[in-house]
Amino acid sequence: MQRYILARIIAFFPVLFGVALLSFSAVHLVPGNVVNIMAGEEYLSPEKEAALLKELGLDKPIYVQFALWLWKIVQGDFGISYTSGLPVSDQLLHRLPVNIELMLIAFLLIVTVGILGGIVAAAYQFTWIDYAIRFFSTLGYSIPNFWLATLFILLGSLVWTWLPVLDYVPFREDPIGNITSMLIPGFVLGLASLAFVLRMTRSSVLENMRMDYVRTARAKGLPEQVVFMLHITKNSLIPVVTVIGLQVGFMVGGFVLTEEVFVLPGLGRLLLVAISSRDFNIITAITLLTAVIVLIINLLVDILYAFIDPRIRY
Amino acid sequence: MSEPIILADGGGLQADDAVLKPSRIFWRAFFRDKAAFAGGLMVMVIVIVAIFSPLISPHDPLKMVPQDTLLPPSFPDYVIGTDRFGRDQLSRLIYATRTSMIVSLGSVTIAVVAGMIIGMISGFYGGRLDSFIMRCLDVIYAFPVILLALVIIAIFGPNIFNLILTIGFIYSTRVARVTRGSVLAVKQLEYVEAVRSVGARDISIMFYFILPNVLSPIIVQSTFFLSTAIQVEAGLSFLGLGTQPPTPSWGLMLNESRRFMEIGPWLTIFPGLAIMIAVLAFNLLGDGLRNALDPRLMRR
Repeated sequence: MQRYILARIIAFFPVLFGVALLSFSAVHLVPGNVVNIMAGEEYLSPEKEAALLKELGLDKPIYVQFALWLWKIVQGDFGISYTSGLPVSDQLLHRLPVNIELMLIAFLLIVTVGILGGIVAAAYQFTWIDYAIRFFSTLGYSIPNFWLATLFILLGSLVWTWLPVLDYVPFREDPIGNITSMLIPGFVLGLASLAFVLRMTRSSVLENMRMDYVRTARAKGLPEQVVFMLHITKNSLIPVVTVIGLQVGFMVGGFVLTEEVFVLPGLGRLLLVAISSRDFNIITAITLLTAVIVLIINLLVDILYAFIDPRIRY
Repeated sequence: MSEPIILADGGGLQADDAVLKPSRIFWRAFFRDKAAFAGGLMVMVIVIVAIFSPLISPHDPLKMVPQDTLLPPSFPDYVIGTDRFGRDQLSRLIYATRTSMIVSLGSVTIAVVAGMIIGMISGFYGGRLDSFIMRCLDVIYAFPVILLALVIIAIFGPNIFNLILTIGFIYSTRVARVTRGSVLAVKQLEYVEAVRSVGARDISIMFYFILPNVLSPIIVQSTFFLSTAIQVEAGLSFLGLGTQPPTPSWGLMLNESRRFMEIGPWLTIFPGLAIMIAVLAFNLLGDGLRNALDPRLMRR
C-alpha cells in the first residue's frame, strides 16, 4: 500500500506542473498584449508601452516569464489585479470562505441524502419507493442549476414567501442569517451531484446484494439487518467514495453559475468580473486555484481508497 | 465505465435470444425499457423541431412588435407570451432548439472523432506515448468543464463557432479516456493476435478490427456528453459568453428574462423547461443504450 500511495503522489507533480503551464499559457496566448488592455482607450506611445512591459517583466522571453511567475506563485504571490491594483491573493482569500461554506453544505447534503436515498431505493427495489426516488434523482441531474436557482428566487419572491431570505450576509455580522441564506444555494449547487451519488449508491448496493459473500453471510444464519447494514452497505460504499470525489470537482465548476444567480461574493463571481474586465492575473489565479483544489481532492480520494479497500494494489 | 460487449457467454439472455443477431437483441432490450423508449422518442421530437424550426414556428423569432411587449401567454397568438421586445417566445424557443442542437451535436462530433483517434493510439501503442497522453488528459481533467470553457471562450471571443470548438475540445479528452480503456481490454483478445499474425497493418487493426468492438461504450458516453454539452451551451449563454444576441438560445433567453422575472415569469419558466426536457431526453436515451448494449446489466 505504501508503494501505491507513493506512486500516486509522484504522479501528482507532473500533472500539477502541466496545470500551471496551461493556466499560464492560456492567458499569454491572448491576442493583443496586456499593456494595451490595461491602458484601455488611452493611447500609449511606443516608449511608454516598452517601459510598462519592462516594469511588468513582460519583455523577457516567455520561459523566463513562466519560471518567474511559477516561483512567485509557490510563495503565494499571484501578482497585482490590473483593475483594482490590489494583490490578487488578498482578493482570493477574501472570497474563498463563501466557496468553502457552499461546498460544505453541498457536500453534507450529498453524503447524507445521496447515500441514504441510494440505500433505501436499493432496499425497496421495484416498489413505488424505488421508482419515486429514481424519478426525482433523474429529474435532479437533468435540471440546469442556474434555472433551479432562478426558480427559487422567483418562487421565493412570489409564492413561497416563507423561504429564507436569499440576500447574502457576511458570517461575522450574522452567523445564523448567513447559514440560512446559504442553504438554498448549497442545495442548488449540490443537487446534480446528489442525484448522481444516489444512483451510484443504488446500483452498487444492488450489485453487492447478488454477491457470493452475501449468500455466505445469510447461510451462516446472520439476521437480514446485519447482512444488509454491515456487509452489503459497507462494501457498496467503496466505489461511491470515488464518485463523491469526482463530484467535488464538478461542483467547483458549478460555483460560477450558482454565485451569479444568487449574487454571492465568491470566487465564481470574481472570475466573471475579471473576464469582463480582462483582468488576467485574477483569471489565471482562479483557474489555477480550482484545478489545484480538484487535483488535491482526487489525490486524497485515491489515497483514502487504498485504506478502505485493502484489495487495491498498484 | 462499461466494458465492451462480448456476447459469447450469452450475457444472461434467454435461450431463444442466443440465436438472434446482436442487433435484434439490442432493439428488443431497448424497446422493453420504457424510460429509454420515451427518451428516444423525445430526442427524435427535439431533432425534428430543430430541423424544421422555420416551418413550425408561428412567428419570426427576431421580429420585434413594439405594441406587444411582455404579453402573458395567450392562445392562439402568443402561446407562451412575448419578451421585452415583443418577440414571440414560442418561435424563439423553437429556433433555440436548433442552436442548441447545432452546438451540442457539432461539439460532440468533434469530440468523438478527435477523442477516438487519441484514445485509440494511446491504448493501442501503450508505453511511454500512452503515459504521456494520459498525463496530458489528466491536466485538462483537473479543470472543471464550465470553468475551462469560460476561460477559453473569454480568450478567443464568444461566438457559436468557438463554442463548438471549445466544448468539442474539452469533451474529446473524455472520449479519449473511454476509448483508451476499451481498447486496452480488446487489444488483448485472441482475434487481434490472429489478425496481426496474418500480417495486418497497425492502422487496419486499429480502425477495422478493434474500433467496431469499442464503439458501444463510446456511443453510450457520447449520449451523456450531448446532454452535458446542452447544459454547457445554455450555461455559457446564460452568462453572456455563449450564443450572442439576437440568435435565439435557451440560456440567453433565461439571461434576458432575469430582469423581468416578476412581471413576466413565463419568460423564465419555458426556456428552463426546454433545457431540462432536452437534457432529460438525452440522459434517458443514454441510460437505455447503456442497459441495452451492456448485457451484464440485464440480469438485474
